[in-house]
Amino acid sequence: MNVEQFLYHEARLLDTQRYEEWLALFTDDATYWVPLEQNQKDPIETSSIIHDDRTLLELRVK
Amino acid sequence: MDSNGLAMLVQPDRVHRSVYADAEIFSLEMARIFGRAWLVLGHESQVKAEGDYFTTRMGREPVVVVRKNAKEIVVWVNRCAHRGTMVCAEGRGNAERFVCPYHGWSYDRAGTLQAVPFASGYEKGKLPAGLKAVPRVSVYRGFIFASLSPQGEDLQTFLGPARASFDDFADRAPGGELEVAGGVFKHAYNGNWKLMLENHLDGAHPAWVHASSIAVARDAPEPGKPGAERYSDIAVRQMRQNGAPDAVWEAIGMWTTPRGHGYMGDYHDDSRLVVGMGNPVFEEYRSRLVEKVGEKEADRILRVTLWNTIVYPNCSFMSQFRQLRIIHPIAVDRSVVTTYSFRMKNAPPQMFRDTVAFANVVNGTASWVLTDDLEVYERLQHGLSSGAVDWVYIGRGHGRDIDEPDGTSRGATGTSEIFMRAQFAAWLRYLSEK
Repeated sequence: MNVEQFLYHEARLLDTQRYEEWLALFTDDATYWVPLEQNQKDPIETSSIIHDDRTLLELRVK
Repeated sequence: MDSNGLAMLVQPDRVHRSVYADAEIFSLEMARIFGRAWLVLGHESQVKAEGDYFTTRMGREPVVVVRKNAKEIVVWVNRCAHRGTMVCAEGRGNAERFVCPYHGWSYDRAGTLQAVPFASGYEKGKLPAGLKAVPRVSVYRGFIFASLSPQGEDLQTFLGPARASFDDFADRAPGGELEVAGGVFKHAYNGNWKLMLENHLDGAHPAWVHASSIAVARDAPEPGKPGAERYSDIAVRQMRQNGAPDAVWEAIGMWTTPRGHGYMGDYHDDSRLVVGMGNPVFEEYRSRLVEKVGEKEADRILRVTLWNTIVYPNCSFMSQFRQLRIIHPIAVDRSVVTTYSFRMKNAPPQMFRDTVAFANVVNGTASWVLTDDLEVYERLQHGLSSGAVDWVYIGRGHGRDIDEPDGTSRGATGTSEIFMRAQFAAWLRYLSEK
């Protein structure tokens, strides 16, 4: 699967609420990051809308 | 509405639903509470240099907070003296002159009118002096307050025993230096402004409102040992702690002050979450505090374990993770909240990273905790907008409140609704003063 197709696939899993399959796309060392600010440098010194490691992603799905 | 009518709405153990749902009462609140009380506007660290400014609101008034010079912070109403345009765009920055975007009237940092295009068109002496100044501005422990009323009690009297909460916030920073940092969350909800202030002292709600996150956190991997924590541990611990046994909530302590302020004791096991005894980062922090204030004072400071404090009518903060929220009433059923994090300048960097992580999980707009609360505020507003039933019950612990020597009243238990009775007593006092 190329990157473009992969992104469509990921969005489709979310849109159809197939959260377990969506979660399976992420490796154990994954980071899911939605920055709070424009041009935000990192998720450590500034808050984020979402900054989840694999554990937190799992908690959201559960 | 006259005083008798208002007094009917607030009774010892119940309030009438119209205090949350009636637009006329909301207008009275804006004039008599937000038009009179000291309101928290922000922190000195947001206006460090001459000309630094930020915009905010005081009730219905858009205002600008400006560092005029090293000694003085001024606040003026963000409304051009000419035609009423908001002179300064929302946000923050540094400026020597504020120029109205409509006809170019310009003002200096103090809000004094400096230049007017086509000035010869006015009769001599007919131009206004400048922007309307907010009459009273005062600072307590670095926090900036202002009042739209030229008269009234001074800030210290207004805060009363709630000063102790600000002291706790500032004292915890080695050297007392705090700064706003790490980004600002902003969210809105379709509900009355009072709902948030009530919820933040309500120890009976987390087990229900936050039940889903409590449940998943209980099944999450065990948090790491001191010094070996993972990023997700703060989230897991906080969510688990929201499910603390009833006995913990009953024992936390709940204090209120005559002006409607209130604060609750900490409900966390402080060996694990908040102060992290045994954690190397915390030990480093503690030693920096000891350097500044000595062993005895450091112990005293760290023994104060408070969770949320409400400064009635517009602020909620907590010193353990250094979070501060300001609520802006927009309409009877619409509120906007801004959430700030603070960095203790002389603490180890990890302390602030923990603050950021905590803010993301609890107070962030996509967090596990805030989103549940917002759902409930909107359900409350729906229910309270119904005319089918008149009364809201605030009677838990009523008749068993305890007067403390420091001027606070304490709830008989930690889940006493004393905080609502105190907020509504203050509410009635503001609204009854003509």
